Amino acid sequence: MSSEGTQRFEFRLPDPGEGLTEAEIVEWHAAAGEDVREDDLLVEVETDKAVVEIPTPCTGTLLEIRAEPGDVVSVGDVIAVFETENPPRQQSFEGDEAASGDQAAAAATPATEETGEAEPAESAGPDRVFAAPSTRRYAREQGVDLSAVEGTGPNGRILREDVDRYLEEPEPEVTEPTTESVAAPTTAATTADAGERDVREPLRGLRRTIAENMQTAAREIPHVTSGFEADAGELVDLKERLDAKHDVDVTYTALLVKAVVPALEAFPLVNASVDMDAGEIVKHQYYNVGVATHTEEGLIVPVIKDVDEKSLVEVAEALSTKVEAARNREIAPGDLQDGTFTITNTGSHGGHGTFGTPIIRHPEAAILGVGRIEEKPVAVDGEVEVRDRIGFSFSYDHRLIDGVTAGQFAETVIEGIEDPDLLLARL
Amino acid sequence: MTSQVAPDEGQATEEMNMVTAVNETLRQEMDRDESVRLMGYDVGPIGGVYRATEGLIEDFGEDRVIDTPLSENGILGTAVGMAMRGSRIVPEIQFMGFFYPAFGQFMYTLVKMYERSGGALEVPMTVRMPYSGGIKSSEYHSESTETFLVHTPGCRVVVPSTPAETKGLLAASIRNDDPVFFLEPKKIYRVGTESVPTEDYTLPLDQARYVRRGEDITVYAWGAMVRHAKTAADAVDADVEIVDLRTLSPLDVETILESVKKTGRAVVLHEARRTLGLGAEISALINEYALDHLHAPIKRATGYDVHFPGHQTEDAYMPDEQRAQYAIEAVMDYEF
Amino acid sequence: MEQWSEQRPSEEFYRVLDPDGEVVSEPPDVEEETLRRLYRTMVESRLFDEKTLSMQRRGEVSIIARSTGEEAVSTGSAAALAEGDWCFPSYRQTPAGLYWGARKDRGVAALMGAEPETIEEHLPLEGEPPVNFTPIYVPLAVNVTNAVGSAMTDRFRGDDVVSMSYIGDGSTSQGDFHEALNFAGVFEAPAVTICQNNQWAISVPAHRQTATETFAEKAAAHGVPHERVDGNDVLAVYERSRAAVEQARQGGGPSFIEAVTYRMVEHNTADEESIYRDADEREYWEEKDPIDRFETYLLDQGVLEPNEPDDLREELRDEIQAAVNRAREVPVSDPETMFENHLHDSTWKREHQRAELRAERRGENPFTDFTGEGLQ
Repeated sequence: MSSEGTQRFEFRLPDPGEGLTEAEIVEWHAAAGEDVREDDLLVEVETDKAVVEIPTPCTGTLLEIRAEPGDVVSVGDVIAVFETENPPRQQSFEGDEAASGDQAAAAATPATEETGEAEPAESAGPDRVFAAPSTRRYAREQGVDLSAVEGTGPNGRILREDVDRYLEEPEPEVTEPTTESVAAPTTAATTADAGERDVREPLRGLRRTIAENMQTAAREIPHVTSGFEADAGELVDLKERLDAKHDVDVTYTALLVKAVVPALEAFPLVNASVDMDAGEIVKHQYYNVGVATHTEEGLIVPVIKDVDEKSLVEVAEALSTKVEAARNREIAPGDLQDGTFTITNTGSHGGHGTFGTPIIRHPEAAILGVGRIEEKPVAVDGEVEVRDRIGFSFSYDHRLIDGVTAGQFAETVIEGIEDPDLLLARL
Repeated sequence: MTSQVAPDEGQATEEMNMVTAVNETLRQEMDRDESVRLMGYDVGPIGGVYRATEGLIEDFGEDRVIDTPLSENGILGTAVGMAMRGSRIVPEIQFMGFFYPAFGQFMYTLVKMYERSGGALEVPMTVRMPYSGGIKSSEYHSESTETFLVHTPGCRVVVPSTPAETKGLLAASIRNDDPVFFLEPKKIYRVGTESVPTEDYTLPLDQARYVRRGEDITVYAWGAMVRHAKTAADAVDADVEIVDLRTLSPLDVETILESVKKTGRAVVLHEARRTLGLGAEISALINEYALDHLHAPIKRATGYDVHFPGHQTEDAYMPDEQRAQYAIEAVMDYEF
Repeated sequence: MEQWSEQRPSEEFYRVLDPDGEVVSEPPDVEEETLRRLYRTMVESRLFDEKTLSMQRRGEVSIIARSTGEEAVSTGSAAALAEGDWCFPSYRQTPAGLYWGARKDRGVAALMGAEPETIEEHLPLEGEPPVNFTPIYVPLAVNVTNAVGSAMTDRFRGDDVVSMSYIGDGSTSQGDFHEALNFAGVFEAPAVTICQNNQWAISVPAHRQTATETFAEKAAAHGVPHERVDGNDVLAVYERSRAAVEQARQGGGPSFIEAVTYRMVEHNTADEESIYRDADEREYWEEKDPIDRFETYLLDQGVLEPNEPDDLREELRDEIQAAVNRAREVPVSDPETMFENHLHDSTWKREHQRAELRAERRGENPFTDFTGEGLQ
């Protein structure tokens, strides 16, 4: 807006006749800088048909002429600029002016969403899942992934009863590879009845899942296990100090989950997977550490995500929550997925175990079995001392990791355990 | 949503069929408001070809019950002019099939005057039309072309299904300040009587009516089809819910959605032709706003996309309780 | 392409002033104030047409239909109405509205494309207009039927109100014209219908529009009295219209008046008249200009002072410019007004669709309601 209540008005070439798109400037009847009066002849333009006279659009001053005689201008081009107290609006171009003032700029984002409008949980794979809209909604409400449900309707359609059947089976929502060569004792009695030599029972639920996963791991991964032992004195002190200081339970496991991360960062092949079909090594740029957890039905492995970004206390909290959820069979499927490395406890059963050969959780590259912390006689500078010691059984995928790397990895972990200051510097 | 009109204990009632209900209502409204006038062919001394206006010229005189020259366009065009001047005019178009010469006045003035005058000029008129078929009449006497009306904004379209509904809906239409098309299903003009309160009452012009509640499937119907829906509902195993739409424009979308979201299945039953009949609109609405709830696609049990057939084939064209039942069963049996 | 040949219409009609402004019949008894008002109205209309044509040429309004050369028809006839009467114009009766004080700023805003609700909001009507005008009718002859209905209401109610409607020569071929006159005759409706016969229905000349000699005689088929007048003679139009209106008001029923004039300009600004008619004809009709002859008469009679024609034109041009300036102040209509005034109450669909438009204009996706509970 300029002074004295005048405004600038850009005058565009109007459509001089039905559907014309352009015209040639013939002659101007006013000059830039002149005062002009509305309706006086402003300019003559020539179209295919005739010479058309265009009147002055407003009373005021003609500031600029934007096209010279001989120029061909399109309808809509600005041909003159005026200063006037009373600018008109040109009808055919009004839509553009109004729109730019009203609408938010650029591409519309589908902003508004209803509650409950979220995509049903189904895989977006090449295999479509067929189910009625009401069945989909039901599945979504129950937290069931339709791609995991077997459909018994025509052409494999999933019926509501199929969803119900799926819900009744006591298995985890998303199958996860688990580990531990030491299986929990089965609850099923295997005592042969009189007259029967075998008792058969179905392999189902968690047990079935574990069986399948173990088989896959054993089949796919060439396992090598190396044993290591480290001094646990500093670790014990550290644990006791931290546990006393913080409300949350700081367990050895939590410390170990944190402690392995600098080593995983230093040895990316240990935090990787092999895709034999694609012929690729997949190095994960994130650090999700699983902790094998014993439950009544079998081993479950909750995964702590992004351990590198969590503080020790946060890791301890997460661990404690997830372990409890796992034991109560309440853990969410997402918390069992996407691990890049696993820690398993080999030391908690009985007191006589030494080392083991933990099975890697396919498609991870390695697993660290951790033994009990126990007192042992150790030679230190020629003297025998009794010290707390901790043993490790480190299984690794020999396709990716060779012995030297494995050893270096283990040494890095142990360095941190034996010298917390060093560990601290690396975290 | 409201249920059927039910006379209170001790309330005076009278046995009426639909025609009687129309007649009573016109009389009542003309008594109540002297700006109400009727016009049309043969509405005066003979009281209308269906006797819907019987006796009214004797009571109200020829300035209020006006026999007109033979021009539907003239009737509706002058009626619009009268309504613009504050007369609550109730023209009758003798049969819906003869409405078409008036289509110009309908499109240019009847539905437009209020809007193009920015609300300054109202058109408080109610156009009564005997509607739909089933009476083995001659050509053009059996039309159900409500689609043309419903597609056009600026008017209401009301279809009663019982005598009691007729009284309340017609009174409401006449008292309403918008132009209303009141389509009277002539097949059920004299079929069945019911006890109708003699006192005046109105029914809402924006609410569908639950005829029957159920859990398994919703049947949407109106006019003469409602009774077929009821018969079919009794014949099938499923627990059928019936919604009498009552007003085709504006539709009671809330009730339409409420019912199908509960049952998850729908059938639309209408006499009008399949293509772009209201079944199409209702299907689209349900698809758009209630897809998640559906156990099956929607079926439309309707007339065919043909011109209304002659006497010998009319029964085969007309949707009835059998066609309704088939539709219900097909939808119930459907497995996704 | 062969152009239609024009055939000059018969001059068997009622005339008071000839094209030179000479009196040829007893002038009607008209107050001087009314004479001046008739004159001023015609000049105002002519200048308003000039202004709006200029606005159209530079894109400020999209399309106009001018009354240039035909001003006497609707001026003279509308002037015959009285307060409380009703008028149902089509699109070439600007003078009729102006005679009864139609607001030029509101008219210009409408030509600019503003919605009636927006115009009412920013340039509200003050007080009741003396004569009631419906919005202009665009479909032809449809207004006659409504006007007859309006008149029927007055007859039934016993009011002494008259309804007047306007059509052109082409409209007399429409069904509505005949249906309306038929009803008017049967019901003795106080309806006066004016046929502004300007010889052209876009590119179809009057002699192609009908096989009858005149348009006036068509009313005979419906038992309606009719008149034929010189449409460029405002006094003749006024006198005969006044008689027809009075007759109607006294219960004498309907009339039909054919006013013979000429469309001096294009049908509307989308029309290219040189394709179908000869420019020579215009010369013949220029000599019969309604404003010239009346001006001559009024100057002769001393009703107008010699300077007044020029002074009045200057005054009117200023008034018109001021009206245009006010119309320019009216903001662009909110697109949501498109939902207004279809039914008295709101409906589910209206609210939902309005919300969709609103979302779209905010740059948001309008189609995300899948439950019927509305966009958030």
